[in-house]
Amino acid sequence: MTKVIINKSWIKLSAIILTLLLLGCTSIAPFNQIAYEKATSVKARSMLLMSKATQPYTTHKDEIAILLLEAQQGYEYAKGRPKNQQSSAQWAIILSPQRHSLGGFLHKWKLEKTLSSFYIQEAQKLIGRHFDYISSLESGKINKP
Amino acid sequence: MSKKDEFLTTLKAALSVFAQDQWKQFATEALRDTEVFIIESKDDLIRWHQALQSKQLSKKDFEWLIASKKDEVSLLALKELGLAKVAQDRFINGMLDLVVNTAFKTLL
Repeated sequence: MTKVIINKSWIKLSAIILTLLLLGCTSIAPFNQIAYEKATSVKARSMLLMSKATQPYTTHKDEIAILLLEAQQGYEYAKGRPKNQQSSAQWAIILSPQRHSLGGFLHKWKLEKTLSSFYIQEAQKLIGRHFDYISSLESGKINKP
Repeated sequence: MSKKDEFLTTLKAALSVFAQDQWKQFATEALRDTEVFIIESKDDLIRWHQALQSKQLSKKDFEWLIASKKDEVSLLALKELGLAKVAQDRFINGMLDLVVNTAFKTLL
């Protein structure tokens, strides 16, 4: 009788320990709705603004500043979440004016004043996919209630 | 068969199936992402090359798009690395669940 009680207690104790282990051992941040929405929203705004790049950069200076601020907020939000290095590194690539994504596109627009429509269409396809890599990583994360 | 033996046998069988299913799913998805990337890249390069020849695209813009493709590889790699971590977490969590559930079913 004592043995059965000890065995049952041991199992319960093990279950508690395992549950604690389970809660504590994650290697990447869980899914975050705000992070997902930031990526999809900045993508939509970027696509819209990029289609105007046949016009002079200076005409859209204010819209560009707002978009860059929103993208920067997306990056800062990703960077501030624990165990979220991959997502914040993705935002860093997209934002950098030295790379060849949204930041690079806006930098090029600024330097060249206007851009060709064929180039814009192709850049939209690429940069659209760049944002999709952020949102698909986010949506692939574990959704904790 | 003692309860302890039954627990170990059941757990071994369950873990084997679970491990195969978990990693197979991750590997299949990663492979599909890579294949899509290769197909899209091939189409992109053909289209850009034609546009370059017909002067629809300048050499400078062509080079920018190629460089952007390189950044796309980095973004894809970061996505896959992140998803590998998710798969690892799912695996560990699932394994712990299996151990606990099997213990409750066979030992109690």
